[in-house]
Amino acid sequence: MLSLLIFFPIVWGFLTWSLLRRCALSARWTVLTVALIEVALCLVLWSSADTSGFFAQVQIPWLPALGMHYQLGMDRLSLELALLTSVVTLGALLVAWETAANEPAFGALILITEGAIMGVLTALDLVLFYVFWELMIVPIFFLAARRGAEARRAAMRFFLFTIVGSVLLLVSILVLYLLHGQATGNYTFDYLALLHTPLGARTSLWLMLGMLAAFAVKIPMFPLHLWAPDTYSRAEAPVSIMLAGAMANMGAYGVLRFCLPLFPEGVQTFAPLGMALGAVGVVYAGLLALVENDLKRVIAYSSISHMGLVVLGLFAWQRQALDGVVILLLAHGLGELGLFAVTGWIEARGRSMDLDRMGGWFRPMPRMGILFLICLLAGVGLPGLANFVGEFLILAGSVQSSLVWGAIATLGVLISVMYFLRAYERSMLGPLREGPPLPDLGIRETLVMGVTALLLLGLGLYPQAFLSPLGPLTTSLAQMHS
Amino acid sequence: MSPADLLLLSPYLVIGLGAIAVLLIGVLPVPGRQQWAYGVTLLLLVVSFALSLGLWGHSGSAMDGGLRIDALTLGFNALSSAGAFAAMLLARDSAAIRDEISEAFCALVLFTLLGMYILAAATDLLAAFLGLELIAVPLFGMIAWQPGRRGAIEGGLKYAVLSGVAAAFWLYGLALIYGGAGTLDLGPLNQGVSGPRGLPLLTLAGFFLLLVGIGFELALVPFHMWVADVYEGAPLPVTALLGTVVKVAPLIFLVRLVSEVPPSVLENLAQILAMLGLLGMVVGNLLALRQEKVMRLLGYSTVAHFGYVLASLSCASEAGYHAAIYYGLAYSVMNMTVFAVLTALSGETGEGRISDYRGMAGRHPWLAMAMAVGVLSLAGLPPTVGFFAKLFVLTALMQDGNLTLAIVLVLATATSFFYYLRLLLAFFQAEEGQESAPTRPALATSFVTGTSVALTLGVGIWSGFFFGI
Repeated sequence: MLSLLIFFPIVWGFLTWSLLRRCALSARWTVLTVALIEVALCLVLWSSADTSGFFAQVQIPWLPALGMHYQLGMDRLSLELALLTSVVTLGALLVAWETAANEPAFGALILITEGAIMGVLTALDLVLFYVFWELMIVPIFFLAARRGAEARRAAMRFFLFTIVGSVLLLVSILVLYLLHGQATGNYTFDYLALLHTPLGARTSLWLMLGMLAAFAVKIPMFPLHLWAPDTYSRAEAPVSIMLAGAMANMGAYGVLRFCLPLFPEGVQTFAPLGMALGAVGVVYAGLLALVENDLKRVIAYSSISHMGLVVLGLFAWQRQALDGVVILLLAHGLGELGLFAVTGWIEARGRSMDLDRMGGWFRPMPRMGILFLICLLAGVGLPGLANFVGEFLILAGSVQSSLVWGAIATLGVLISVMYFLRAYERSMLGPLREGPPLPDLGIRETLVMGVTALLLLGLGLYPQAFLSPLGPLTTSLAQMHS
Repeated sequence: MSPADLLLLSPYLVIGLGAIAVLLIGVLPVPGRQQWAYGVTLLLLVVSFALSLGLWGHSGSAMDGGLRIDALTLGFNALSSAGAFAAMLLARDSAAIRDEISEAFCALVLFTLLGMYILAAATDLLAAFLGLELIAVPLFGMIAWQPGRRGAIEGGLKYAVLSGVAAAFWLYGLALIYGGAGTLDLGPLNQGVSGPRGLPLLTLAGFFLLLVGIGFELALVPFHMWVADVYEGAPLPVTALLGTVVKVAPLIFLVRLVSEVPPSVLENLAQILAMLGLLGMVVGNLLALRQEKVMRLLGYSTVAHFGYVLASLSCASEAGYHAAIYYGLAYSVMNMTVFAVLTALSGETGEGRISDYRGMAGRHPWLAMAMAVGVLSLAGLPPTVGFFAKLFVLTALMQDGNLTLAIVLVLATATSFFYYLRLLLAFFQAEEGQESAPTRPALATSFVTGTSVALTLGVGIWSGFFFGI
């Protein structure tokens, strides 16, 4: 079942590209169907899920001499993130509807990315995890490098940052493998076996930092976020949706799944610095968003700012904070889908992203105005919408670990109000400037934004559906702290 | 020589006698004799491949103990026959030399192949020298084939002069080893050195000189200066041969050498190998960053790859040797993919600069996909064979405790992504305004490309099977 989840989009993506290259219109319908089936698969897994531990496990020997196995397993955390990924991919494909009409490879590459992300979420063998982790970047790289020389440079920077982090991750994996083998005589890459590796405090710290390098680039965590604003803003809207809505969560997943359980002493040593970096990231990215004039860059910095909160919650390492992290990841994914979709619609109508040139679009496009406002308010953290639950839990948990950094991060909420409302005011309110006519959202567009807004509302009003199954996991993670 | 020995030597006999036969076909008074020569060559390569695989499991020695035929030798024989077969198929389609495939060219390829067989099986240093020269001399001619091409004579001459210098170092090393150990056979060398008349220091000096000789062939730093010019000047099929299996034969010999050499020599040798590996990784990647021409870029990437291999060899452990041999296999397969695609495109690219390949993906989507697989494998991205090769090398290094080399390896890999990605981006850049109809490359090249891509992915994902060798 899990192999199906992973390879179905990859194989279909490849088939669509190779067979339907001439026939772009049927290609995009095929791709959309595959994405819908993925969502259905995730829902099927949800209904058959086991509350605690890993279920639906697959284990096939791969290189037994070295202890490598094709090992997959899903637990509630990866299931929730997988569901989010499938929804975000579906949204990205709907946003890419027009682009995909001209470019059959576009939808195929997005599907391959989705398959690789599912692989990252379910791999329980460390080398298999690494394979999917690297595989995830390749289609996104080609997608992000499409729009001219600036986009190519940004995509190169994205790839190189990610690769340097990834090779450090590989070194950490190998050292852990060797240390485990030397201590227990069993050389294996199996995650469940490696959980019980005796490690000294210093070794634990260094290995944790090696792994964190890769995850920190992906999140993006201050100060390794330098690739993100350019890449998010220069890529097309669907690509930004995949990057910010699906892939960024993989960094946080990596920390939750690997750094915290495998290296508790290391995380303990690093935690104060980690919380500091998270809090500083929130404020820093928020302030930068405040002065940006390009709407996409504002959204990019807001994404970095929210992920700063996620980092704060991860290193607070406290039951409520960890719960908040997962909810914020879900909310953030949906929010980014909504916000970048809006930029996609604006670009499709031939307008630039420059805030100075926008204005008064509420009058001709009331539907977009309202749905944009809902996603924006979600980003701000309005109670009733999903982000509020996540942010509140993180902040409540973090101040128990560190009052200072928690308080500083709370400033971020204030700053987010400022930059989001500024962006909204500049684009939607005020006098309408002259220009070509702006048709309001069509059926497809309203569907995407509407469903996103409904999901944000639903998650905000009823987070228990997602929080209570996570209980055992976050409790056990929090108990590893000291 | 018993029939069993003859059977073991059959690939050698087939190729050696076959090369002479091909030359003779060239003087037959029959129209179309060039095609006959070409066809017979292909047939000989297939027969040799089949014989090598059929003899799997047998082992023995030949040439009075000078050659050892074991699983490694037979495996390499099969690999190099396949590589030469691919190179011959590519020669048909290469824009530069497709009309110039005479029986002499075919015979030269077969002689080089024989040299590779001998070098990979050699356990006697003089037999190794024989193999080395038999590889190099035909290549002088092949690199300069169709001398009217720009850079052909320059490349051929550079290779010839440097091969000569390498041979000189090798022979001097042989003389010193003979003086110090009393024998040139790798097996009894240990007793010879530690015996009453052994001179360990002299033997050590001999081995250093031997390493210099091999260093030229493998393009190790600082003997790497010829690679870029020769890669650029040689016709693409010859570079395909040179850049894939011709490099693996000295590698196999080096593995045998390092595993059989006396321990006192090995300690010093291992340190030198580590140093050469480090230099190769760093210098190769740094020099490749600045290249604008694709062939020169691939030349320097070869230098970098052999840096990784030497680092693995310097571990002087079973894991290190296995990783080095697997890397040789991986290297041949990946490079053959890339060279096959470049040959298919050779008609449309002028000087071979990266910018000349801009937008190729629009015109040849399948070739571009094959190129992407090949280049990403060279860079070391999972799940291609290049990643697994680097993974095994990294594991061997870290098992040995050599963290410095491991860190240099990963950082070098990260650096190499920069130039590999630049190449891929040029391929996949959307060309505005140039909507020429996509042309299909010839069947032979497609076959080579397709097989290489399949191997690049398959040997990686099913590396367990190959690693057990």
